[in-house]
Amino acid sequence: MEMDLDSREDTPASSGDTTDSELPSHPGDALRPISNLRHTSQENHSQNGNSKSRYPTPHYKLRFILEGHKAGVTNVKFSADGKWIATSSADKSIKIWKADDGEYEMTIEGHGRGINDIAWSHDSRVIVSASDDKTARVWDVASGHILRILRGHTSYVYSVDFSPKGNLVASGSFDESIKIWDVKKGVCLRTLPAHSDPVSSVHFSRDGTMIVSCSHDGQIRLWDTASGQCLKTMIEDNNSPVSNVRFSPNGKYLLSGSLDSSVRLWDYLKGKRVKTYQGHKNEKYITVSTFSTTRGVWVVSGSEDGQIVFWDVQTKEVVQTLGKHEGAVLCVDAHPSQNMLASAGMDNLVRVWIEQ
Amino acid sequence: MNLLLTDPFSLSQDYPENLTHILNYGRSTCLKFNRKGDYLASGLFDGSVIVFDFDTYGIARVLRGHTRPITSLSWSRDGRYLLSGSRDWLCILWDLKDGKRVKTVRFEAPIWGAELHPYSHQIFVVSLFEDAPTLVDFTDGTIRKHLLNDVAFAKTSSGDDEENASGSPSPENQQEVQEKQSTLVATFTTSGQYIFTGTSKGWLNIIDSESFQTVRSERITTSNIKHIAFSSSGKQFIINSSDRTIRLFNTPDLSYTDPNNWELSVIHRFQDVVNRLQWNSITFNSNGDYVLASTYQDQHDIYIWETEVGSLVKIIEAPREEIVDVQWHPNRPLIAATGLDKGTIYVWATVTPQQWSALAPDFVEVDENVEYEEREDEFDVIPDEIANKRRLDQEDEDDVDVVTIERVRGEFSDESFVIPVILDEEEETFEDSDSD
Repeated sequence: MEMDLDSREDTPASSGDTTDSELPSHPGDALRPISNLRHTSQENHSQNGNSKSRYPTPHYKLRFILEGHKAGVTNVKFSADGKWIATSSADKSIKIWKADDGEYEMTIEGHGRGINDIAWSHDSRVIVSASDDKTARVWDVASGHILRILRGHTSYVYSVDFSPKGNLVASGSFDESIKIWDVKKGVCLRTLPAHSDPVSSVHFSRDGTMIVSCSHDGQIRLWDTASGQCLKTMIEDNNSPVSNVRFSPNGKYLLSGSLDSSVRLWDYLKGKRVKTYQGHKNEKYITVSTFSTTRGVWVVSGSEDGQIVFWDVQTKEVVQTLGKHEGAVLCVDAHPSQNMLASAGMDNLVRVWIEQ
Repeated sequence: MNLLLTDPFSLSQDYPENLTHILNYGRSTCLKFNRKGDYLASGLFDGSVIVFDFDTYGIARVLRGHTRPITSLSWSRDGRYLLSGSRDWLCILWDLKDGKRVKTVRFEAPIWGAELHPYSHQIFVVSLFEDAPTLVDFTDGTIRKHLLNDVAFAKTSSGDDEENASGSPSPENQQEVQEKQSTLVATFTTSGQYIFTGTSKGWLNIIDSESFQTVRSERITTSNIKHIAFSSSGKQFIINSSDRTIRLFNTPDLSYTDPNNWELSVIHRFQDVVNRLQWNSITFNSNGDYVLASTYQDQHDIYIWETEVGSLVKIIEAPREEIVDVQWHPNRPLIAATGLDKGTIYVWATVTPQQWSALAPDFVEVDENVEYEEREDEFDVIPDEIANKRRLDQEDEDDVDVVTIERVRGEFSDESFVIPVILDEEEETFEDSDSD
């Protein structure tokens, strides 16, 4: 257990405390025009004669910077309808921004400690957040009011996700358990003794019948939502802590990120790793990777050197790197329908990129 | 999607054995699952309708509008609309998106049963207390009521069917019979082309749902026909009558032009000849392999018969009270039933044990001890870089598609309406209804 406590220093839960927020910033004056940017450096890698790839290469460029958080930004999520960007931060706040022009909308506050993760409901009206204050909270986005406080975890809540129907929330915690919550009643339906180390990430399948989780113990597990039973376990070869996992858009594969600077794609039915994406740096922080499927099909992840890396899902080649943030990039998210990407990290800033 | 990883042995269990949930929200009088099976509607004695979310076993919607007990419920195909019929002479069609009424239709008698057309939520058929069954159509906005025949259609009733030959009344007294009988049940065939109705004198009438003509009549029994239920495929149907017998029929090929040639013969008769039990409600299971029925009065049981050879396979004992309505989940081995006295909803389901092999990638479940044979290279020392490179090279062979959605086995393929979760309203509370 002591080791666990030590390793906690390496997680974004504490990232807010260690971040040096040198940029004085205020919510509201977030939008900066591109011409004033200090960092628009952009490099394209390895596009040479890539015959195996079925997809075009990405050409993303910085659109705007959202400034306002006072500590590291732990997650950024587009709403399902594509209209909003929500960001969570170690500064205990959630901020909502308009996706099309980057305009600041509002700040949601209430958590007692830093926030580790957020998720939108499918109808884009509700957000759930996970915090170091041991609670997950459900918020009405239109008013910013709190709707439910989900209490029960005995330690930091690291990850949350809404079921596709919006009636369930799954949360993963430092207490090594996953809890499934009835959102309407605000009560815990089921506690899964999921892992033997902190649960770093949880994600629902597209039909809501399964939950995938991963942990610092190096395992990825699939759970039956209705029965709470474990359906499958996969282990990283070198047992490196898994910091993030999600289903592919069609639900057939899993994308996991682990602290050996690798993002992996798994065929969970076969229990087999089918792709490994390398070329970024991820050894310390929980870093969220994702799929970008609006133009090509790419895997996107932030890197601890401040860059964002695009891989071709098929050939595993790096097709674009974007940069750069001043500090580790902790999270990326792709817009559900437009060629737009948001990234954020330890430099307290959110960057929005669009395809040129 | 979870089914692909579930133990096939546990999926092969066909019928539930364990009482897993008890839902106490008001006094329930009738139940109905939506097609996907993620919501259960419950009609209450006080006229309210509650829609349960079967993921959480919590309340998704409360619909208030009736003032007398609910007698029947019917879901639209997409699960967005719910039709409720009540003893207060009203049928109400509800939009579950906001819980508002779409249509309220008043009749001149209490409602026995109301069922939506399988492909339209703007057409439904009702059977009424001592009144003619009615087809209601408001496709173009105005409510049109078409009265359907109560009486048997004399021309075909003297058909040359074997079943009919014995029980067929002579033409003289037939007229007499026709005048006294009333229709107790009316249900659409799975295509919606015909309506099967059952009368108080044991006649089965088949009515064309567009011309409203009775195309075929058949005398099944001499006593009340209480229920008619089709299997989900529509290939079989069962008739429950007050002569204590449930009769199983193969549905004739209804596209066959001459209704007089439709074969209507009993495949199996389900009854309890020892206890001479009446049956309160009947239904098929999800794939039509089983028929289940709840017993009337003192014996609080649910009987399950198998349809292939017609044998009794299971008697589920209900706790304490008589079961008035019983429903089988549309795609899982799960039974929901409601009690007469308190209106408690009981849920029986299968309980599957955790598969230990799921807990680690190299665990396998074996029936008996197996001698382990080590692989030739199992203890070879391969440098990490080489092993790693080998693995990475191997990956290149796999072609992955992370976008295209393939429906998997057991996954509900149609779009099904999701009832919005309302969080900013105060939760409605229901006391355990002990009131008499």
